[in-house]
Amino acid sequence: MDVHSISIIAAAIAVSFGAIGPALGEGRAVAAAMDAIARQPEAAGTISRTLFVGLAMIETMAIYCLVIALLLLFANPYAG
Amino acid sequence: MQASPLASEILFHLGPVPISRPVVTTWAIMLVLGGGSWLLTRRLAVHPDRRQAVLEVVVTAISGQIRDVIGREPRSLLSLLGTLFLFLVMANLSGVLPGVKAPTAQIETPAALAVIVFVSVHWYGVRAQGLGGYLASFARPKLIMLPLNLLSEVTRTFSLMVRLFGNVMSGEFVIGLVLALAGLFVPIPLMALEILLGLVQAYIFTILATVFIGAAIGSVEKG
Amino acid sequence: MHLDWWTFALQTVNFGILVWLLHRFLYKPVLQAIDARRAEIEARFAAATTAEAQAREALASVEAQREGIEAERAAALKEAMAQAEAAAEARRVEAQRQADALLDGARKTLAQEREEALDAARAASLDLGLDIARRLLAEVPVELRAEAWLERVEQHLAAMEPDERDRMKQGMGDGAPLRAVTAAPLPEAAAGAWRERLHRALGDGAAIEFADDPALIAGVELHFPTSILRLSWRSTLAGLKAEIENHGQPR
Repeated sequence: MDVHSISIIAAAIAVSFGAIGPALGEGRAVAAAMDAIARQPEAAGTISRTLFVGLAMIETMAIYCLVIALLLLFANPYAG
Repeated sequence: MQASPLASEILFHLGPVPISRPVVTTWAIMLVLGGGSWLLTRRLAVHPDRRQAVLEVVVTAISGQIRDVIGREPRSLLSLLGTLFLFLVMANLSGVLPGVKAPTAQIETPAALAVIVFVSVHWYGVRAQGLGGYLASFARPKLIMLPLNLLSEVTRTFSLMVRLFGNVMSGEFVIGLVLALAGLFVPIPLMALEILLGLVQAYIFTILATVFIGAAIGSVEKG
Repeated sequence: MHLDWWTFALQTVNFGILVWLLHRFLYKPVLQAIDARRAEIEARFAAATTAEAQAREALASVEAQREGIEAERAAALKEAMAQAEAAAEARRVEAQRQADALLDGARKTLAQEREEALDAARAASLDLGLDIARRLLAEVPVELRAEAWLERVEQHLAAMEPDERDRMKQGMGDGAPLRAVTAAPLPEAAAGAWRERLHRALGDGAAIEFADDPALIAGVELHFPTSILRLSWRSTLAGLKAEIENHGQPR
């Protein structure tokens, strides 16, 4: 198995596992935000803004994984 | 396999300076924004017409968001953060146009913006708290937090850059892939999602920059 | 993966230029317009507040004026009422006075009329008495009538002071006669008796003439040269008449 094959497998693993954690985290965050808005509809604006920022933060983790995968695929420093 | 989405394409050389595609797109965006605002703000009156009302709504909405976050009069920050938001909206949405690649889909543009935000944060922090006060704020709440605070300054700037770049680039990349697989109609929902993501990313980038600056000038708790 | 530093630098510069552009052409004019509008709104609001305050002030002054007018009206009403009452009182007093005067006048007129009636009655009774006396006297003989009067003349002359009697007798010595006037002509015998008795009373030597005057009714008048001694009913009646004409007051 050469470096290319290992890189492809590693990229797939990075994206797939890197998507699980942020997905769960975002689900919890959205659920909590919904709960909060249901309790306090007048605070919906603030909660929504905070939710978006938080979701972007969480999603950054998935994006990191995607960037790693793309680096492995297109800019692999070990591929020569 | 198509061309790498990470590499930037050099269009032409201006003397010794290589001019890449994002730079040209950015110039076009600058032209549109600057010329548009010059045209739209030529005749401003106390009693606004529809064009001026739209302009005022845009400006007051941005300044209202900034005020909500930092809790202060946003006049001094409006130029930087408002321009950041408007430029990011234009840049992210420009990828939808056929034949145009979003400048933010290349690592250089988000990097430049992130560095500008990084410098601005320290500039505003020093201006608001003084050099000593601003440096002392890194040692809070305990001196042992100093390395972590310094590290977080770097990592949050890096994550700012990578978040924007990764979102826009991955969107374009996915659209390119789908376009290569099934040419007609199938990419349209993905393009709509890309528009939404572009707006959200512009908003998030601006809000995060605002939060960082607010934390630096002492009106927002550091996070 | 490599970073194109030229692109990075150019994008940084580009963004800086864009910030300046938008600051110059978008934010500054729009914010100025908003500020201008806010300033105008505040100015108008201040003007409106001032106008409202002025309107309130005017309203208050108008109300005060109205109250003043009401007070004035009440005062005028009161004054008019007082005047009317005073006038009514004055009229009432005047009417009372007039009524009193009228009553007084009526009373006076009544008294006067009664007086006049009384006078007329007196005069009538006097005339009646005179008439009766005349008729009664006519039935008495002349001698008797003259006799009584002669005695009275004698008594009167005897009662007089000697000075007074002398003064009356003055002038008689020069031949001037003493005229004795009686109501009816005296018979010769009676005239002789009179002459004798008068000589006795007044002294001798006096020329005595006799005359008659029915107007005397009864009695005698002795005409001395310088004075007249009246002892007749005519003089008494004249006194009475004068008394009646003088409303009963003695002269």
